[in-house]
Amino acid sequence: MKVQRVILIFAILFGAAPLSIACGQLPVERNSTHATLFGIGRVNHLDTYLSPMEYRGPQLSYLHETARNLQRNPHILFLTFTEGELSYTHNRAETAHEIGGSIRYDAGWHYQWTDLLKGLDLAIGGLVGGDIGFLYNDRNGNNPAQARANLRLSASLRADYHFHIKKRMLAVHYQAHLPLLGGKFSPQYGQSYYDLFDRGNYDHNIVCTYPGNALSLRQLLTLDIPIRRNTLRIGYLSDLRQAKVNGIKQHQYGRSFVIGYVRRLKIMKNEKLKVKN
Amino acid sequence: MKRSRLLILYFSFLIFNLSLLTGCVREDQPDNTPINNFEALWKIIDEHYCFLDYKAEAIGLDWDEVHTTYRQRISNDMTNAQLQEVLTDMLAELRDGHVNLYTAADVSRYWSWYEDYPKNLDIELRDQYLGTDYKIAAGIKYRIFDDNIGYLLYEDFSVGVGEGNLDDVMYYLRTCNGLIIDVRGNSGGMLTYAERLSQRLTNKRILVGYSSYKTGKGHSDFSQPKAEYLNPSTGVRWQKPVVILTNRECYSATNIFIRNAHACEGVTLLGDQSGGGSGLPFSSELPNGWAVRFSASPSYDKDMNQIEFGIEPDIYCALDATDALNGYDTLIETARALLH
Repeated sequence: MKVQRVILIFAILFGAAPLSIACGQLPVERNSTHATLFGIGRVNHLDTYLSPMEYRGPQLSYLHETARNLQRNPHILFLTFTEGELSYTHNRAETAHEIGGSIRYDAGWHYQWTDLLKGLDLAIGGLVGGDIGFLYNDRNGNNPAQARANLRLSASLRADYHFHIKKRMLAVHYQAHLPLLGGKFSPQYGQSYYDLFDRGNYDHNIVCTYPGNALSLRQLLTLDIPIRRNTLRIGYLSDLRQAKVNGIKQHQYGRSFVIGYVRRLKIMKNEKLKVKN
Repeated sequence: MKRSRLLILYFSFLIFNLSLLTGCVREDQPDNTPINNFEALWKIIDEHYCFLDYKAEAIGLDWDEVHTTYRQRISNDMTNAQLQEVLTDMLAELRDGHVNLYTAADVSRYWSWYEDYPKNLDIELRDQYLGTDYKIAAGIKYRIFDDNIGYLLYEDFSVGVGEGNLDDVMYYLRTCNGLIIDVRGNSGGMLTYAERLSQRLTNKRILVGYSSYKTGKGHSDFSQPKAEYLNPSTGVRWQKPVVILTNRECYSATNIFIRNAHACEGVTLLGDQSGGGSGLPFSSELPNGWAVRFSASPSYDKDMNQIEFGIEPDIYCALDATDALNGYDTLIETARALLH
């Protein structure tokens, strides 16, 4: 049994299990959790293609997460993460600004242990995802902006700790995504976008990424507080993205306070939605 | 059972947090002092400027020696104006019109590439040739002289011109025996417009030059030069002789236009050597927020020669003061004589 579990975890991490699940029959009945969060915080941008100086400023973010238990195997969760962010930053001397934005999507599967320790659920698995975005510097001439495009396979972990305060059940939720392998768009060290797109000169502009050249980590720590039939979620998002490819250094260190709501649904056999809370 | 669960928990968190112990991707963020700003500027040029090797050979530039020389003039108690003066002098060693330092008070520049030479251009005189009934198509002014020579003036490649404009211009001038394209005083702008105009001068795809860019911090770290071809326009193309009037103010995108046009059949360059400026400029900045512009990726001619210091004309021709007093532009008159 233990051997089977280990095999299943590896299968989830390397993508085989999702395929087998996707090709199999869809369960008729399952649990589903939807979390929508809005964040406000600060971000620190560095992109040496645009400037050697760090830019700091406010950032707004949006996160939507879904998690569904498969009825056939309640230990397996299917997850999706949709995120968007906008930032407006300035250099230390406040003589120039950068506007940044990106959208990202990740999806994958987790294997979940419930009550690993008392009140603690743990899930680990893998995600496949990507993002596109931009960073625009309002002062530069022929290197005014940097386009962002990434694809990645990430290891993912989540933990939920449930506890009671005055008969009310609260939950601390933690999740982390660590990209392990991917591809990233990047111009060369001194290559202009004019050369790249107008002249069509491709020069290793899609780069393989791994923790050695693009170590990134996204962590979310939240507290779920049930309020009547809904759940309020508040927390802290730490999104550290980095890359050092084609001689260009990039980082985006974002830290945000997030607030939103969680809805837990159960899809019944007759396919009617019922609030489970 | 409990022990194995604890192990799972322990290793799960360990894997994720091990990543935090590894290095961050950062760049030095020096304090805003005159010395640090000097060092930052010297380093930006040292790592990103694309002509250090070429200028070491062509004009004896030694960027390390420049550091030694100018570092002596920097101290942390100097004012911003004093700092800018020293940094301007240091950047002038590059002899590059694409290198600027922008502060709130001033723009540091090197304009000797045209200020030290005769202009060979009298705007009022040129306006007399244009008259008052000339036509304007976007950034182009044009007319037909009495001797049936077409005259096309493009003063600034920052001002756009569309394919439709060029179709109409070429169609209007189609009956002329020859065409004068006057780009004197045009100090550049958008490469797209420069290329668009030069595409009207060839009927076949021709090699016009090469370009490369820096791939690393070393002075010799360049990509393999890529050939640049000029494709003929699909619109109305010019089929007769062309004389292009040039002077020292022809810079940057105009320099590239001259390079491209010179590779076309039936095109003669007349006037003075162009100003040059073959490096596509990039921007960066110093810790105090001052912006700096510098040449980042070089272009060459079709024989892989540098054109940073300009392109020589086929026929040198200067504006004669006596001609000018008599209402004649020596270059335009010489071009007309050539086209007859």
